[in-house]
Amino acid sequence: MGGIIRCTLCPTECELDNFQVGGCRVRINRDGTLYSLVYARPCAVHIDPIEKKPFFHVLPSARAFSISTVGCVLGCKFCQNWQISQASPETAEFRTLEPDEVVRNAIVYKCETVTYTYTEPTVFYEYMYDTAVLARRFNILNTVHTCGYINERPLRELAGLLDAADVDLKAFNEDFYGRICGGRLKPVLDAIVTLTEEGVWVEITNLVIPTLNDDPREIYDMCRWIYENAGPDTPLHLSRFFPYYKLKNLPPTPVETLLSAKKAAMDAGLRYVYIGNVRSEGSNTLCPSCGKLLIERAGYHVLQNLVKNSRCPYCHTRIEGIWRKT
Amino acid sequence: MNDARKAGILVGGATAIIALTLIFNLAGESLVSPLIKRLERKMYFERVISKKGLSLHKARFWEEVKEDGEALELVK
Repeated sequence: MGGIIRCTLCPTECELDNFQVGGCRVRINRDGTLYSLVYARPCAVHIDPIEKKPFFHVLPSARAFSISTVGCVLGCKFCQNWQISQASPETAEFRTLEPDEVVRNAIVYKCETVTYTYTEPTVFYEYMYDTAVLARRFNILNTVHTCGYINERPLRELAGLLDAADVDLKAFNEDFYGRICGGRLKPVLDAIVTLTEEGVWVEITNLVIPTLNDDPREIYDMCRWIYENAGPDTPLHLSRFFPYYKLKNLPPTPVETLLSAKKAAMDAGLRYVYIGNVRSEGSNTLCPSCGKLLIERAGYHVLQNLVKNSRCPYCHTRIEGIWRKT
Repeated sequence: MNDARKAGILVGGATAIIALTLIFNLAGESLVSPLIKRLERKMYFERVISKKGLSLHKARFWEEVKEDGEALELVK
């Protein structure tokens, strides 16, 4: 009784002795059975604009009922939510919110989507899955912001319930993932391919960190990979880094670096490249054909949205994404 | 009990203590440490984790591991 078990949810595949907790901090082997400690125990429950996730091609200005538990499958040194992602469930504040209560609240607060976010939703897989089943029944979208560090089988099962995924592609080299995140790049790339194959709308976020992953050549290679494996219509969010957690020694990303990264991404053929964490026109959506302004944003707010029936109103080019029927 | 007998008991006892100390120092780490760690984890679970009102919801993706490291079966 109480033998060693292997968690096969994420690529780390922790082997756990009796009463041992996984690297994610939220899964425990108790007498030979693996349990989640955080099912229906979110530490963060908020209503955010969907642009905050960020999703720029999914129901602009929609309210996203956002939930998260503690824990993470990675340990990124630049984590913006490290207070909860690196916390243990027994030391953190949480509330009890069953999946049906999540969906009920989303309906009451007129949220068009439930978003699994803030930390890595893979760690609360069962909670997310059960909530997603109910949300879909009530025509609420399921969206996830993930690092993509999840094994193929659980991801494929989940993908059937997901409408959109924003995947953090943190860099395009294994060394960065190993040294800075405590993970590997390959499973993340595999996850992006799997999500695309399963028909989930994918947007990609890349946090550009000075000296660590801001080489325009590497960004170009990353974008070529996105172009070839997820498609040229995959929105890319190039986010500005601010010193945080274990990377306080680095300066914020210069705006010029972001502009140079955006140029590399456009040169690689991506049609929708956005600059995040900076108030600028870089967060607007332009028609890739005629170049006219389609969605004007200020921070997380949508000032105007001219996309009609998924098309540019000027040249009628199809704008890929999930849009309201108008 | 004569002096020779007392000395014998003393030498025997001292030898036993020295032998046990040597064994513990040489092999104690691998023999006792896993047991102690398991006990510590169990105590932490019972005294801290189980008192916090956390869920114990059966996880979906895991497998048992044989001693040779081979996976037994996928349990859902």
